[in-house]
Amino acid sequence: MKFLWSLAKKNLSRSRIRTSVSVIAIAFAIIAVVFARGLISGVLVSFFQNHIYYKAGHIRIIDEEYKLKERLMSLNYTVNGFNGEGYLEMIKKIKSVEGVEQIIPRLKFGAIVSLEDDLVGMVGWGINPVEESKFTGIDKKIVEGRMIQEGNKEVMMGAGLLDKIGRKVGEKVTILYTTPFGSFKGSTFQIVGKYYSDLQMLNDMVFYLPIGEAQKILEMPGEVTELLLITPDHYKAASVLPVLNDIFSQEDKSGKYILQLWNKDYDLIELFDYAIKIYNFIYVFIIVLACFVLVNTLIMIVNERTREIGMMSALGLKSREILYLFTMEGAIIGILGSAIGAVMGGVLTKVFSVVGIDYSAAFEGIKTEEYLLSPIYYTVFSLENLIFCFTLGVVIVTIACIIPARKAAKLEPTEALRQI
Amino acid sequence: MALLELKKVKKIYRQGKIEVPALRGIDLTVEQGEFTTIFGPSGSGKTTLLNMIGCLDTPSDGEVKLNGDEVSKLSPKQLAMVRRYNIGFIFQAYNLIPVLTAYENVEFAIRLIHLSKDGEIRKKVLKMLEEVGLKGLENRRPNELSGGEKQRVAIARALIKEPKIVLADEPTANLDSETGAEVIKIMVKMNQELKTTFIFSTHDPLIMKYAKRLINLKDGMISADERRG
Repeated sequence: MKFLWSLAKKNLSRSRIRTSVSVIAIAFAIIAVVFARGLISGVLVSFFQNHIYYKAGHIRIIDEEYKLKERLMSLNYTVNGFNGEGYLEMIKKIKSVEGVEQIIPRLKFGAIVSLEDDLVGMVGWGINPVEESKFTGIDKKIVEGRMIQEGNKEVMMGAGLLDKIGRKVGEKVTILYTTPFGSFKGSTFQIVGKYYSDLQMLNDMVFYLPIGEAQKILEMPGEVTELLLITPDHYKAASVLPVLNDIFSQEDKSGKYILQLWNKDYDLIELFDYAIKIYNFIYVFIIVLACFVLVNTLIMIVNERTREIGMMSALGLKSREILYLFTMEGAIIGILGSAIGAVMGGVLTKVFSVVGIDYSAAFEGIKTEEYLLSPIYYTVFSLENLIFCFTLGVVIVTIACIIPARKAAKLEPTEALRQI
Repeated sequence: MALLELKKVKKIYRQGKIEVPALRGIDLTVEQGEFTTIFGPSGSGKTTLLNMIGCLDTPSDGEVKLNGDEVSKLSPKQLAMVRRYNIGFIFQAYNLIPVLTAYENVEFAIRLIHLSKDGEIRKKVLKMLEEVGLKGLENRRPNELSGGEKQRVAIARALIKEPKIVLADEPTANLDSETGAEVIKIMVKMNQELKTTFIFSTHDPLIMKYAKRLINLKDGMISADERRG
């Protein structure tokens, strides 16, 4: 078989242009697939990170009813510890669970700021400044002023929100809100920090305040709307669920809490899972399309070399060996095209993993506050992607080559020798 | 035991509903070392007969025995193995592989039978090329060789595996008379030195002059079978 492999290699030099066109077709397909996978990975990494940071953590503890009324920012279904003992007691009990690294309390509520002729809607996030900074690094996004501190009646706002209300760092702002008891109240806060985030929701809608202050103004001592649990690896977060479920089945007598895994019970995440499966089909489809060029080339080659196939049959080559010879010719084109495509696709992915792709123009005019979509995506460069695409290319191309190779192998030697 | 034995071999081709008989019952025995020519008018069945002998095709009826073994009922894969080890072919149009050098074209045939080590193969191929008068042209590709040189490569390729029979279909048809004569002389020499059986299908009077046996084929039947001293 070694000499057939060697012959297959030499046969590629018969028509260098034809071979080159086939190699280029495969290479372009692989470049497209490498880049598309890198981009999709980048979108997913960005979306999953935002989803975990600002929505779900790795596991989210909420009141079961809150899940249904979350969009209304209800403050009547809160996390107030097991049997009303307060969320801090609950944190103490959960923190001992192996695999739980950090617990982030958040108290989210709707608020408005009244301007002379307008009302600006916003969302207040009562947070533990230290834990929040450690988790999301929000302190690193501060472009002016400082991070809020527990015990102070102060807020930190997104740059877009500050623009909307026409305030600056150092000024005061009166925020209006409704308590869980239905009272419409207002409190004045010092604006101590301004942060910038490319997430429209965070930049234009959210302001942070110390959790103690949020509980005080809302008259909700010991209550938060959610607790986010952070584990060492979000893909392995489910492994801590059995222990947590045991604790909750023992402690949560009323059964009001639910534990939400970051990738379950969220429609958009499930949609992404579905999309990934569809994309996998699209990748295969792109390569199959490129294979048409190669299959066409090989069919032409088989037709041109009919007499030669007859001669090889006469020399005693079995059908299987002729099949092998032509499949290898295609496979070598597949290997070359896939290797070139993987390398070039890798370079392209690497470049865009640094410079990113800016979708800001596409997002203009679209309200993305509800979705955790960043306008700039960075492709993810990984060797695994290159190896996967190279292997996928070689396998699909080789399989495709069997069609013309079988045509060659099935030729009757007498018929083949008769061809002119 | 005869090297080749054909008994009542018939071959019928079907063209739609019409049956076209190409061989109508051939009885033929060929011994080791014969230098035989099959001749006859166009359409007389020469190529079909050669295909039967060369195990490229199987008869519709009758039997073909090579070295005493019945080969007419073998599968395509088994026939390929019979051809690989026992039969050499020389074609009118040479049928060399254009991307291989003269050396590699000859080597190709011997590589198939996996009998020798690399060093031995090299020696054997070079010796064979020398025998057919191609010393110094080993590294030339077919497009760098003349017609006569190409046919010599084809002869070397047919003989390198030391087959029992070499079948040559109009081997001099594409050559001028002088080159044709040289090629025939090489085959005569090989026949004498190696005792390889040669069977030709040809109209070339020169080959017929050297042939030890002349078989005349007419309408798919042997009309004359003449042996010479």
